[in-house]
Amino acid sequence: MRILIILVVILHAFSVSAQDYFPVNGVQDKRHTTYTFTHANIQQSSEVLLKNATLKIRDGKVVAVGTDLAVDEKSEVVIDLKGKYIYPAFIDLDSKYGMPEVPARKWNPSPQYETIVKGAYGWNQAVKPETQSASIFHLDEKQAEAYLKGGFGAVLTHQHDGIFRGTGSLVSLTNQSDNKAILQPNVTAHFSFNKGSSSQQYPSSLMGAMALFRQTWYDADWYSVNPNPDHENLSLDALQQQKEMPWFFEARDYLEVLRASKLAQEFEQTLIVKGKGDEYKRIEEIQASGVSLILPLKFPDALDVSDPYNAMYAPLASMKEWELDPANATLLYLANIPFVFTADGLKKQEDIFKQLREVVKYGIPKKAVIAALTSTPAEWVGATDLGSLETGKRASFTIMSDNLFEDDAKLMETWVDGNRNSFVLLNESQINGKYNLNIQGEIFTMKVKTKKEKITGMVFYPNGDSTELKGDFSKELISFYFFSPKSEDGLWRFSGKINYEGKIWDGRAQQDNGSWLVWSAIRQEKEASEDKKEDETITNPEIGSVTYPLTAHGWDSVPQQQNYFFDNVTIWTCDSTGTFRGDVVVRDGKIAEVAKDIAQTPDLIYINGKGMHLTPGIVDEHSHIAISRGVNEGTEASSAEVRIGDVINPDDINIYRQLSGGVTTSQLLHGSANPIGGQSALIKLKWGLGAEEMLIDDAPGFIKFALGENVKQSNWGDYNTVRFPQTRMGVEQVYYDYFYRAKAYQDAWSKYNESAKKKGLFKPKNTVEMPRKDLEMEALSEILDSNRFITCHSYVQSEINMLMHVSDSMGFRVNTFTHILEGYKVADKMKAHGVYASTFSDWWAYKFEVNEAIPYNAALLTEQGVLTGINSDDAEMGRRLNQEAAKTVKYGGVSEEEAVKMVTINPATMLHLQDRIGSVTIGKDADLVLWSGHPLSIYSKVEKTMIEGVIYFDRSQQEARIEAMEKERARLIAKMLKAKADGKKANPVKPATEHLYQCETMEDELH
Amino acid sequence: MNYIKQLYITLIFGGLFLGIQAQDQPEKVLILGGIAHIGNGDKMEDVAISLKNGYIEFIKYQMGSRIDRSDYDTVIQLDKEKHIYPGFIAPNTILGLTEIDAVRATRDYNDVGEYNPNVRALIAFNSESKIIQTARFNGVLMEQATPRGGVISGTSSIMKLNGWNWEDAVHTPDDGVHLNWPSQFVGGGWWADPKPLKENKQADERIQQIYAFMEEAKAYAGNENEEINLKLEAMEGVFDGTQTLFVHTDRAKEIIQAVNMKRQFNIKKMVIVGGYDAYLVPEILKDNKVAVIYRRPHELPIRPEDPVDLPYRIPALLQDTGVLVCLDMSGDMEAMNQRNLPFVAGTTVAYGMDYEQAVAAITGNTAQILGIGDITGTLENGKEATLFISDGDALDMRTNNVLVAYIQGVTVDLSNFQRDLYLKYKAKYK
Repeated sequence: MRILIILVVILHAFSVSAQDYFPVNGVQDKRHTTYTFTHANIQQSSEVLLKNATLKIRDGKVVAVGTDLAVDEKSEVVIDLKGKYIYPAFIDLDSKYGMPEVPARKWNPSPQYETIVKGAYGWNQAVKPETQSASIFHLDEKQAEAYLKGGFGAVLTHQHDGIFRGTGSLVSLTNQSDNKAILQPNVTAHFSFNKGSSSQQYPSSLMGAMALFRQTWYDADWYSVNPNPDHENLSLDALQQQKEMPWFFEARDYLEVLRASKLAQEFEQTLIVKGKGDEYKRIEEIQASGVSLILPLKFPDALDVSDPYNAMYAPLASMKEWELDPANATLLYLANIPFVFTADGLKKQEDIFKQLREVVKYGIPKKAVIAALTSTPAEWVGATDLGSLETGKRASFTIMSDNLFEDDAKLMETWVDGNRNSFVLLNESQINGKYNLNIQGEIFTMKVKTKKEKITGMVFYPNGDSTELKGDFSKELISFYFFSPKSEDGLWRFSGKINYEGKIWDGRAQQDNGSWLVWSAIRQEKEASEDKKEDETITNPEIGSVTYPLTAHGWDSVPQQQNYFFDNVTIWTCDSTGTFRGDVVVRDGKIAEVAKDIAQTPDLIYINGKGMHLTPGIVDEHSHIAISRGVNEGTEASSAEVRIGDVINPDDINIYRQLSGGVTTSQLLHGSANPIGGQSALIKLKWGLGAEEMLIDDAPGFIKFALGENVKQSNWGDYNTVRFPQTRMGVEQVYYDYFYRAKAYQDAWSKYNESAKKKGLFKPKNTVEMPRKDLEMEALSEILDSNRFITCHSYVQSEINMLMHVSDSMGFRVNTFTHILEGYKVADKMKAHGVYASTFSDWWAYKFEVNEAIPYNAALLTEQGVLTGINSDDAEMGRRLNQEAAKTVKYGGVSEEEAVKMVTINPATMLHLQDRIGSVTIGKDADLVLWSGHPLSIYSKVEKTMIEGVIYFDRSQQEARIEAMEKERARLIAKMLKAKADGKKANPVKPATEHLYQCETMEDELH
Repeated sequence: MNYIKQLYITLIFGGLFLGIQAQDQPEKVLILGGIAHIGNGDKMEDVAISLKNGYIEFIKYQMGSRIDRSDYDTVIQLDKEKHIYPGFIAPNTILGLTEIDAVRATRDYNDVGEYNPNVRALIAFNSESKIIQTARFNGVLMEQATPRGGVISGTSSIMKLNGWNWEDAVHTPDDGVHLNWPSQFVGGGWWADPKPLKENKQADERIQQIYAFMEEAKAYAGNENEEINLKLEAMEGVFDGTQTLFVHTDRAKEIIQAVNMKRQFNIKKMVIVGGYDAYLVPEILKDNKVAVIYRRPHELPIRPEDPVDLPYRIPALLQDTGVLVCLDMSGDMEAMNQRNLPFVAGTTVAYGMDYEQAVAAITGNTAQILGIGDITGTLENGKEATLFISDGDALDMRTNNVLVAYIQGVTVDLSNFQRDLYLKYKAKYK
């Protein structure tokens, strides 16, 4: 072991110097010293390691580096670094260094709908592209020191506040002056999905943040080409430059990495995204997205699973992340995904070395790790003078006591632009070992160990007895004491100096009686240090497989499409052929044959359906599962611009749970917090696939509307009484207002487009101003054009009637009333309008507007000829929609065939997908459910759920799958127990927390 | 009654007893034929059941029995396919204590304070609740009206779902005290911004507080007290065994802790309410004679790793270990959902429960667990005449169709405003 002396005070080679043309108080003090570092192992770049080489620097720059450089001891400061390593200083691209503190968000019980920022900025507080990091930067020695100890020489810093965060600046970690620190002011643009300090309501959801991102860029484009803006918008001004800058995004997890990249692609930008470090979960999608990543090096701690009852609540997902997160960099490297590292998230930047040593255990080449901290970040920000040690580049580098990947390697110095920051003395004394201690001719054997500036050890008397020794030392001086062999001499107290790097100590000692003794100590043997080989091959730690998704009930490999033969099964076709016993053939994901008797062919997988029933896959017209960070952008009366399709969460366990109840297709709806909600997503529950693969191709567009108590905020507490509308009267006016605006928007665009067409030789300029592209109005225009369909949350007859009048007068048709619990009161009017009804079987009494909800609703609507379905709005009930449909038989005597249709072909028709799904009809998607018995019986269970010829749920496989999962858990639990036994940190178990959304869920998810 | 009313019910029919006037006096009723689900795990086919003075005079096989029909006000002749069940009992519910969940003025189940054993559910019980009408319609004829909130929520009472007022409707007043055991895990934040669940560092402290309260209550119960303390007074029944201590909790460790407290204080009657993990600790439950009111099976699994159908299976798993178990319907929108109590029992049949055991889990077992098993809950001689006849299997929503129901021998009005509205609008469209 080497002795390392940690100095409390950092040594700076130079005093602070100002810029040339700044006035000097005193005499000029310019120095042009050449520093020469000899006999070092120099990592010149991530690719090149020079052994026993020399580095020369002067005036803050590298002047030479090589193995055969002449050294002039007379004119240069020569520093011998025998056995030590020099690395280019690291660069961190995700830093808050030198930024003012983000003000805490002011909490106010009353909702705040408008910005409170003063100045000619935009309308949303979370949009602050005008923040110029270089203007608000001020160097901070304390923060800088922490970075320097982690080997960093420069960082890209920006204010981490808001969705649009302004610019980032590359700054050096020099202590000289703000002017010298800033290397590249305002060169990057920064974004996130986090509102930060904004106290404004909008946006409250992730999809709202994404919509705001889009709209703001459209606004910026429009603002830049608008020849006569009638107002100044400094935020949009600021964005003009940021179009050309590299875009940096901060994401919370791999799903947000993909979402950010999707947004950037819409604006033809590639993105650098700071991730969570879980990108291995969907490595193919990450690869395809083309993003570059900033990876944190903070890895999860183990969980304390020593108590088995506690361990039951340790989520498999957390345990898998604990095991796999450190392998992320290796897996990304193997997939050729570009990445750099950040120290953000580490308790101290100096912990980075420990983390890097962990990272390389998984097989990533060390040079790739070095590149990810030096050359790659330099390249990404265009810092041509950083990232390697070549002539002319900045003299920013670190000196390590050993190869940085060695466990004992210590950072000794960090040089920034030629300025020295010393943390460990280079020529420290090494006093560990065994000494012969000569005290006036008497020889004692002494063994000493050091820790920081303390020494401890044992002294062996000539007679063989021993005693303890304690003391202190510094670079040159040493003092220690122990009890002399003779009790009358008492305690011997030694003081002396250290010579020859610790080989010989000498000085005098005092006995209890005050008399002095002369002593010296000569080292016999140094403590053996283990010799490690340079390229020691470390066996990769054993890690479990990545499952899809990486959570409970994930697949080791996602099941594949196959061809099936269902034999002798009761088929509820839900088409005109009715219900009969027969056979069904599935080929290439489609229903190929349906008949009473089909000849079986050997290429088909045989499924014996005897005694069982086959229905189309259940279609849930109203679901809120599989949505990330907020189901409602209910902050304003309209949020037509938001899209559930942006925020599909394919890892939601409820997807699998719905499959176990036979659901194959769900409409994921925006909540019901505002009259005009957001755009829906139609997905198939392809458990194990990614979000984009779950979305139904070319699905028609839908949008959620809502009426009644939720939109008038009746149950939101006494503070939420200021948003228009607060009554059903106001709700009508919201619709008229928005649809008239949408018509005006359409007119403005058609005038503009007409005028653009006329543009020709004699009319070179379009005289009509380009209207602003407004995503909200676009969605409403689509409704007017019958290209987007309304699913409207509704309860009481007055409001149902109202919306039909609004749509009649605007020339479109309401597609579906969902919930529609008083539909039975206006069933005749609904029939006349041609609207569909998607209702609950028997819910009521949960709020005043459902006081006259009756379970006979579906029966009465059906009798009146209104196409009716039964929906869930609830992850739990979604698994039992067959039972809910069965209630219509009890309440109102609906026929059993009609009841099954209410959860299959009827909702499929409402979703305009009746030609593709919803019945067991030749040519349709093979979305099928095999039931153990009558599909409406409470005693029936789903045996298999198939989507497009892929069996995603198979009850016969459940036991084996659970067993395999339990085995994997047991393996991870054992591994965590071992980690705890080895002294690693083990945190208390945190159970999984599910976000279960219903229409009503109204939370601010963006802080 | 000085005339004999003879009724014959033989076909699929649902509406005969709708809209009759509420009445007080038990009728003399003879039911002949049909399948009787006893509520104790057994069934009898082709039975004769005699109801007199509000009690079941006898239940026996019709074949070979000589019964004088003129003894009865009503004779109900059933075909073989009809089903007779003891009235379903909904334990642990706020039915009758709330009318519209979102309207604060109608919520009467959660009062201010942490320790409220003195707060009594029956006082707020609305026997005219419109929700109660709809529960009766599906065969739910009794309930345990139960307060919510705090550490000790209050005292429950067993109510008949029929009566002019709470005094009239009460079956067993103040049957038990309800304690919410401190959770092993807690979530932070507030409703609009919930934080993930994490270890509850205050759990031990909270348990100590409960022990301290129990100690004082026990000391109070053993004393002649000069000054009345309503809270401590309300706990006396727990210590003398006249009341049950219902401990609401789900996780294995919490259940162990709760049962441990039973031993510490020598509490005679304790029941676990919730009990998601109870099937993992059956020994301690059996050894200490602690039964379980299992939480609504129609819930999502608590842990993501759990088999997707675990909540449906737990009642059977628990039953198989020999722990006495019944089912409740507490949870979201629980007042209106009480009418679906029969169907959660039906679901457990699909997942391993014997059919008659599933019936017992909402009748006989429930009565036993609530401490009224000696007088009601099953179709046995001498038990209360609280039962109903269903056209079909009452545990399946397809066939549940209650034709006639009695509570303590009194005919129950099966009409409800939902059906009235149905008929009204059906007529409108004709």
